[in-house]
Amino acid sequence: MNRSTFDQIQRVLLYVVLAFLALVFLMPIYVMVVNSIKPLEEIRGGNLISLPLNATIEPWLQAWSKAQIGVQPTGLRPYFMNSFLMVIPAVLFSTLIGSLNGYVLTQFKMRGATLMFGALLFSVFIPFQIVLIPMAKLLGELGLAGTVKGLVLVHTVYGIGFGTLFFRNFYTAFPHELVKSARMDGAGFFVLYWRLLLPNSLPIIVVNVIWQFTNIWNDFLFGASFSDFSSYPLTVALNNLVSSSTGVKEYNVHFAGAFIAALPTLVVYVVSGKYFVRGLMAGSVKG
Amino acid sequence: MATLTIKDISKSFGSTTVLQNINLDLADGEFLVLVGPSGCGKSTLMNIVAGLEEPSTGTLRLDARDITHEAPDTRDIAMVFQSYALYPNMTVAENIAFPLEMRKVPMAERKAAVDEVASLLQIKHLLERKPRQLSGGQRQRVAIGRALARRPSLFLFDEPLSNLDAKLRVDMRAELKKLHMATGVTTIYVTHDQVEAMTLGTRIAVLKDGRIQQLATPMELYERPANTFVAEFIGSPAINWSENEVGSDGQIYLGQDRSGLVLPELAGRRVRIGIRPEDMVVNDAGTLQATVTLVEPTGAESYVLVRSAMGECTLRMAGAASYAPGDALRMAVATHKIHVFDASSGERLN
Repeated sequence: MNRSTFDQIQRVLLYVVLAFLALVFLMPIYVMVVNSIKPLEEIRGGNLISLPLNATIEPWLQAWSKAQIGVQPTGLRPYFMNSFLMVIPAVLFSTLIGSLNGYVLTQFKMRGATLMFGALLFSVFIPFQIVLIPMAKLLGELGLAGTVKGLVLVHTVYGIGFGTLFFRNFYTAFPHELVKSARMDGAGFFVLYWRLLLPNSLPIIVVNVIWQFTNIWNDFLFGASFSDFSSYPLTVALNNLVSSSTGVKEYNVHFAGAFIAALPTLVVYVVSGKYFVRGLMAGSVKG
Repeated sequence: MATLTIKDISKSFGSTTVLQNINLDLADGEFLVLVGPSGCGKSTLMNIVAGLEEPSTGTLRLDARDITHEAPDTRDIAMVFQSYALYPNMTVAENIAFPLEMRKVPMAERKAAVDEVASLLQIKHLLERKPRQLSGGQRQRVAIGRALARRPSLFLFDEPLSNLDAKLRVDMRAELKKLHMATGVTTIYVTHDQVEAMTLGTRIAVLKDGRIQQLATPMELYERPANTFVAEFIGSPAINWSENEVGSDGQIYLGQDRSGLVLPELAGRRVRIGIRPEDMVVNDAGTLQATVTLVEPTGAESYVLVRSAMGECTLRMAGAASYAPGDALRMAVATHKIHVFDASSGERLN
């Protein structure tokens, strides 16, 4: 067997394996999509894999605005809004605070900077469960228990650790001469940050936004612990949708609901995925 | 337009001393070059003058003003960095205007200043571009423009030409000199390149291990180096060395031969003798015999490596050298071209 046929066989094998893996990963999405547009009888007929005979968007409408969540027939819509009201400020604040931390830790000679960074880094590894009770107490004291604002606070605090890690590592590689030059030109602490550091941090901002957005959007534990009927995030509402029983299990509505809950993170990834990879690689090679 | 007085400046980081008692006086309009090998402290001294680092001891005065503890932006000093340090998110025009904007200069004046330096440096057509769209030489001009626009009392250049290719470096060097002649701003220029130092400086300070080895005009530095370090650092090809004992009558010997230079006070002392490559002259009546080992033509001049009683030496000759390896020749050295240094301390003795 000569060299080139061997290479070709290898190549074919590689594609077969990759195609198989892609199929494995895409299968659940396929199942969710086809079943979310089937009438319930077709699912109960037992075939989860087949394409729908009478496709309908009714389950999506149900899940969005009519389905029973707990005791209310509101659908997921209000909770979808809750999640946005929670995720947008939380991502914004944790990104801003993370980048400010990174700026201070890298661009100023500060006593104990390494220790402080170590402590912030440690917060990344604290399991969520440990802070549940102290956090509930804190939110109670602040009068934020059971509100979306409370969730914003919790997620912002939890996001600072990772945000600091990302920005600190990014700014370590930031050219010191630029900062020196700006200082001589007359830029103060915030001007330097706002006019020079932040506008040149796009890759790491994208990384941090994707990371925080996905984590906060998908969080269930904090949502379930610190919110009530009016402030549930989407994940908790989805769980309630699935577990609310009105006699029949409406699998098609559940599938549609789950897909609605997953869509925003999917969109974020598709829109900014290439920046994500680029940002993760930033600093590892000379640009 | 200003004078700068650097008095007793020292700097140490923990137990390492980077600068020791630096004293320098810059006259108005002077172009002082700080030159030295890497790690000699020249960049630290520059940062201290700029206000980016605090000295451990000593004072800085710009004209009559004590600026030792003043913030970098109020010192009225502008700096051009080795990496140019152009703000990547701003256009060329915004870069040049940035220091003025920070000083709350009105928009119209800013624009006028940008136009003025842009035409001076011939970068008018680049004003709307971002730094990444510029070549190395263009970035260099923009960086100089940004420093100029502020009309500072003092200019600092931190190895500004070291990122340019050889040809461009020579062009920019000449332009910098012209620019200095045109503006007359007092300047400190840091480099490790001795050719840049010689061509640009009105005076040169040679630094090593945080101390000034010699402060002098370029020609004085070349013709009367204060110690072996300066003699070796300045000049290319490097000075020729030989070590010897001074005769009991004070005669300086080149190898076994009497040089004719007599320094009675040095009788019997061990000395290092330095002779510049152009000062070793081929002369059939000369006493020093040598054998050619290598010829290096460079065009305008040639370097001829020879072996003699003094050891390996380089001779500099104008034009093409008519020698081949193996040829024998005789050399002579004028007595006033012989540099004599103490063999252990390296200090100049004649």
